[in-house]
Amino acid sequence: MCLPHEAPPEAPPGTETRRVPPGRRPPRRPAPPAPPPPPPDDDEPPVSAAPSPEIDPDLWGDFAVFRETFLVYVSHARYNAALRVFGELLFEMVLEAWGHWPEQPEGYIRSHLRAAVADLRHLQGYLTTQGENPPEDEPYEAHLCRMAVRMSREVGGVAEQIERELGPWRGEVS
Amino acid sequence: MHELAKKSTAAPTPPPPSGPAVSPPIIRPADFEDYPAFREVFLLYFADPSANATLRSFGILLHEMVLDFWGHWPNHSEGLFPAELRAAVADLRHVQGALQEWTGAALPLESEYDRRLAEVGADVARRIGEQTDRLEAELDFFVGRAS
Repeated sequence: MCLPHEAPPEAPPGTETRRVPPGRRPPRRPAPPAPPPPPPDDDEPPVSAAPSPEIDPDLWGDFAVFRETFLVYVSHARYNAALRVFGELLFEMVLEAWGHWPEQPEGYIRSHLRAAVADLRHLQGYLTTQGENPPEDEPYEAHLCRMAVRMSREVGGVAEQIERELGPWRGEVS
Repeated sequence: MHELAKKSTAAPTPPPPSGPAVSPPIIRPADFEDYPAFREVFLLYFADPSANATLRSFGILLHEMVLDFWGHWPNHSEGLFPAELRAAVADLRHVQGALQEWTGAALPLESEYDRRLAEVGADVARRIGEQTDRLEAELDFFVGRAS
């Protein structure tokens, strides 16, 4: 791990051109040029990217906190694991605390379905963005882009199915 | 009673809620980047408005910081774009599992309406599973992991 005064290590050589992940950033002044990194230590083992887990739906509770579409950018394995452990801690703590907080006005199942809809709408937007601008010179990536767009529509469809059933009432008292 | 136990302070009383419970937001798909880090099915438990807002702000901050730093970390072996789609697959599986559990037999459903909602949720879980199977098969085929 780099101390604040040290330059971070360079990305491994021979890497492909990376697509910039979606994200809006506030305008900022250009950073000063970084000092050259130290020569690599031959004794250090290579650090490989942390892949997204294959989530068994029955074990969804083990991945309850951070979106995988967020953690995919934390490809440093140790930091990825640290965030997951922190997430476990947060989850345990909130389960202890939430009984002290107000109840959802819509009740248990409606509020949980609304949360699922919100996550589906997030994925709908994410997949739409991933499917934008299919590269002309990468046929497989272009194919994945088209798949992402189709998935986005299907995910939007199932979110709408729940929303139609729930209707517009969100627990307001008349 | 042990001496130390006599001297220990009582557990603090939780502060009163800062307001009525926060409901899950209505996310426009085009604004998905405003909800980057934490799952809504997790934030649902932060019903206190102040706690909910604090965690959302922290998630946005964390996301911004990761975007500033991610280029320094290892590349995904199958490429970033397939890795991003695999992450979406994982998130779909998560929603699938959550819906399956919330609409399953173990959940006490008190009214006919709740049972109707549970049926809808279960059907959606099944459809999500089928859709995700197709995307996952496509990703696996490319990397030669198809069975």
